[in-house]
Amino acid sequence: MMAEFAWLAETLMQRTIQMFILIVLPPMFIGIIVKLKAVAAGRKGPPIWQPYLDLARLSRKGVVYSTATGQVFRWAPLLVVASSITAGLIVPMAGFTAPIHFSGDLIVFAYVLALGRLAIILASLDTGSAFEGMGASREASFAALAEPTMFLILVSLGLLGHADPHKFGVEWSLTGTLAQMEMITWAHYGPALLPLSFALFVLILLENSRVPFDDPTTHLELTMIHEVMILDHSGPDLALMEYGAAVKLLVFQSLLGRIIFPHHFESQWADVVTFVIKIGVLSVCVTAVEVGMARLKMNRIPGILLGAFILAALSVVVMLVEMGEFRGLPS
Amino acid sequence: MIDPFKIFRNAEPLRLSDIPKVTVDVLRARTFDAIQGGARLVSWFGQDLPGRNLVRIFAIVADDPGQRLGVLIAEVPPGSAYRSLALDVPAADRAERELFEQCGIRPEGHPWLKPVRHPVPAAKLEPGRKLGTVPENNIGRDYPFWSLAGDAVHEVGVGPIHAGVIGPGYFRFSCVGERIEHLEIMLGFEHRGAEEMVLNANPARQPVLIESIAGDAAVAYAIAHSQAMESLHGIEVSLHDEALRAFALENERLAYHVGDLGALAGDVAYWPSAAYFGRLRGEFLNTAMDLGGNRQGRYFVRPGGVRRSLAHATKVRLIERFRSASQQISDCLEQMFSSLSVLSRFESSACVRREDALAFGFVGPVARASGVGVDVRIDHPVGFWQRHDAEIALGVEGSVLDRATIRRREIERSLALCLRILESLTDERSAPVRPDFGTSPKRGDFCVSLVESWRGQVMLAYVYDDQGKLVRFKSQDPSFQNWNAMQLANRGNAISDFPVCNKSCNLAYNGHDL
Repeated sequence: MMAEFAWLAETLMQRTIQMFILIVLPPMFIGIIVKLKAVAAGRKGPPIWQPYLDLARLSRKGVVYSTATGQVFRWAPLLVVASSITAGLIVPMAGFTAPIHFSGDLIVFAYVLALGRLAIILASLDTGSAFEGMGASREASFAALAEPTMFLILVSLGLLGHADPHKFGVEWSLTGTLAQMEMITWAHYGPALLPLSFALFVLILLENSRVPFDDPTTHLELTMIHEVMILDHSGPDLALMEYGAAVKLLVFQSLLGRIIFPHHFESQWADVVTFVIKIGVLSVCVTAVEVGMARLKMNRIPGILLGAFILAALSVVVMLVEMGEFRGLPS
Repeated sequence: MIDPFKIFRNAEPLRLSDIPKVTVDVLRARTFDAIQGGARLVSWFGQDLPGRNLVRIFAIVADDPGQRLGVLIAEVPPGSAYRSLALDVPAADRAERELFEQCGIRPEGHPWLKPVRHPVPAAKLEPGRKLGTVPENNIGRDYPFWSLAGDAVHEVGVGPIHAGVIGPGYFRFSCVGERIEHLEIMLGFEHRGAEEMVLNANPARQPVLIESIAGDAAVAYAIAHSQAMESLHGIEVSLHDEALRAFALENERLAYHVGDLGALAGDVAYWPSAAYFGRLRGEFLNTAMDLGGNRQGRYFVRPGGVRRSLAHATKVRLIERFRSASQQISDCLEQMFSSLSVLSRFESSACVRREDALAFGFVGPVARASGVGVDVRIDHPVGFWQRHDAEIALGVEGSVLDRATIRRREIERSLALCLRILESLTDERSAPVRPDFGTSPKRGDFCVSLVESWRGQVMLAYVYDDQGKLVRFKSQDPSFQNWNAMQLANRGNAISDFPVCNKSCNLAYNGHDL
């Protein structure tokens, strides 16, 4: 009885921490990137909690709706935040398991994120603005090009989880895969995990509108992808959009962080500290790319995405070979 | 090639009675012949002669290699028409539209006879005056945009309020997908009636007005005005003051070229260069502050000389500042121009072909990037430039990269030149000259003054009447010609590369709109 109670308390604690990380921390990591970028360019930069102040400021404002817009435009911000958070619940952040895990949650993860994207694209088309239409078209094109890569990455992870499917009783699940990963997994599956990590990093930059694919700080509507789609959102709606984007970045980063450094500690708190350090390091990597290079010409983006696709495909092939799936085939 | 014209040099005083007067058809033919023969159309503008119920048309051409300018005039009745020069000489496009708008002379068959500027609200003008005689001015209302038809075409309109709130202009893109098929730029929102204001201002106030025609080229405009006044009134400027003016001009070039490179880097999200160049630009704005007490370089150059000479201590400080800036700038240039991702954005994008640059008479860095070597400092030197050589930098394909590289070279050369001027500057403290320009000019009643601003050739022309009163003031910013370059460069360009192209030309709204 006591043991069960302790287990319950521990799980409750873990879930609380996970929710705290997922809901409260995302803007801070955006703040860290902004700060690092400023410092790298020799400027002082805003404090790292500035995104919280911005969100607070926006939430206090009123909303302006264009007469051209309908219900889609009003619901989109909520959908964007909901999809980011739901996807976040499927990824095991600090701790062993994710709050939501079941067989096949890999697919749900990918499509819940796609739902958020669909909402933002529809909302931007709803405004009828030429700018936003352009942004929507870009977002949709690049998303379509990135989707196969995302899938191969998930397939590769799913295969890894498949190696020992009964540990959690779930297959093709992020939790099933990541929970059983240890540092030693890299020794076995390193050749598959390395290209996978690179491909995932490219996707992080693309999915979260970072340089070299997009520029979150630009004021030039003609060059924007993500920013132009939320041009017409104002006040709390804009705050939700910004917040949703921040959560999405954290979700992607925690996925990659978990793959690169899968070790989990006995202590909850050690786990949380490691998690924050991992996300911090990945934020530094994102900043390093932003500081070190200019944006790509838009017609070069498909080329880079093709590269990421090849890496992801390589990862799947290597994973299959390493798991001995091919052993039965005649040579 | 310009022999039928009255030949003169930059800022040389002329008498209107010495300028050959021909019929408008001959004026057109002579100008066409001159351009065919390799001359460059500098300006084509009109002057109302209300007393005689005539409109006088000036054609000004330049023989750049020969360092000569030519002028010819024709007088026609108001409301008359002639065969458009732009049909054969694209460089006359905007000038003829302006002539139509200002004086009502119709260029028959002009391929693009659209308004140039928004009419000035009557309330802003002197009672009884009007600007723009054309009734069908429809800027900002139902302007006849060139439009492309078809399901695949989509149009994007930007402006007239600029995203960076730098100046008003409306840009209509007709695109197929991400590709710009056609860009049309509607300007003229900032028309303040500057030319008229100068006519009515007292001579002491004229430089203040002229400096604010394009406030970011204040020194260039002030020098253009000063050298015209000095030559018309026969006033000598000391070598010391000429050197200081040249220093101020090059300093202005440095400030804006350095700023532009930073802005270009910012547009492609290359933040290190954006931040460093942004800061370094401040060094030159501060230098302008040290010279004349204004960061934009205003109130320093005045007819007769400069308003303040440099104290010895300031000079030493400036030398120190320029030495350290040279070092930092050379590092930053190296960083920016060795970054492959930046180069790949700039290379081959938004090209202005050499033929177009020649045909449309583009000037300044935009022309030089396309391999057209026009530079007033070399072609039509006045004062300091008669004794010092400026080196010209030329591009090849006229791309954004070429325009950026031209700026890089000009920055390097201007830095060296500024240091040379500072080091050779004597400590003589010339008393500020305050000649009286209220009287009528002694040496002539017509003067054309050219200066190479950082953006290109600034032209100011002055016409006086028999009583010695200024009756026509014409100001032509380099942007007046170069806005067409933007329209051409963007055809076939990706719309997401438009901001980079725009920044690489960095044209003026106010200078164009007057």
